[in-house]
Amino acid sequence: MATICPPPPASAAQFILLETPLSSKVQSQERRELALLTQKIRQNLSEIRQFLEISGETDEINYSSVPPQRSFIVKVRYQYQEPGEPLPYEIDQE
Amino acid sequence: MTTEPFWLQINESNLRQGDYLPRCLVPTFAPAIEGQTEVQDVRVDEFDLIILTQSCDLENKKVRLVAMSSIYPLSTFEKTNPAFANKGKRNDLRRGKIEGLHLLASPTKPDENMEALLVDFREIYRFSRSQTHVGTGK
Repeated sequence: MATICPPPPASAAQFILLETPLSSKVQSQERRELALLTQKIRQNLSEIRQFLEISGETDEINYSSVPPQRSFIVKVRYQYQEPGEPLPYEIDQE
Repeated sequence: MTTEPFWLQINESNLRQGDYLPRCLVPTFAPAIEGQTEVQDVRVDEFDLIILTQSCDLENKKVRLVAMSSIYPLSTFEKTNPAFANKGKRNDLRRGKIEGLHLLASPTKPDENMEALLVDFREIYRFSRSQTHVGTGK
């Protein structure tokens, strides 16, 4: 049967996330296990948040290059000359 | 506060990295050439270009081809890409967060952000040094 409950106190979530198994408040075995679990959840949430932040930043942004100021067609005559040769490559003597 | 001029107008034959060359003619040749001689129709586009090749390589003639990118006013870019015409995207551009685009101050109105120029690194052309001199009148 559904019941209407008051909202949890605002500090509750923060308390759960900030509690660590090494805290002096954690005395019982159950509370220690709960703290370990919440710590693991916190780590997972942190990793998810980091992933979402990174993926949000690296979303590919599409844009189009600006078209030319003007275009026209010219007749070009090709004439074979000779095979090209590489430029001389000087190696610095250090 | 006044902004010091980022650009300097020069009139010399030496090419340097960062030279802004307005109204360059960029031919797009056919994918194949058959035989020893052939006549083809070639499309020629006019762009404003900026030299990317390092000045020392140009000065020491270490490169045969000069690399250049398109450069155009921010306002022209926003007309082609209306999604960029907002403060958020302009800030992203200013911070260099948009890969492939780089913002430079306007040569004529460096204090006015909307007059800034945008270098488009997706559009890179290479010309021989002599073509660059002829094409730019340098």
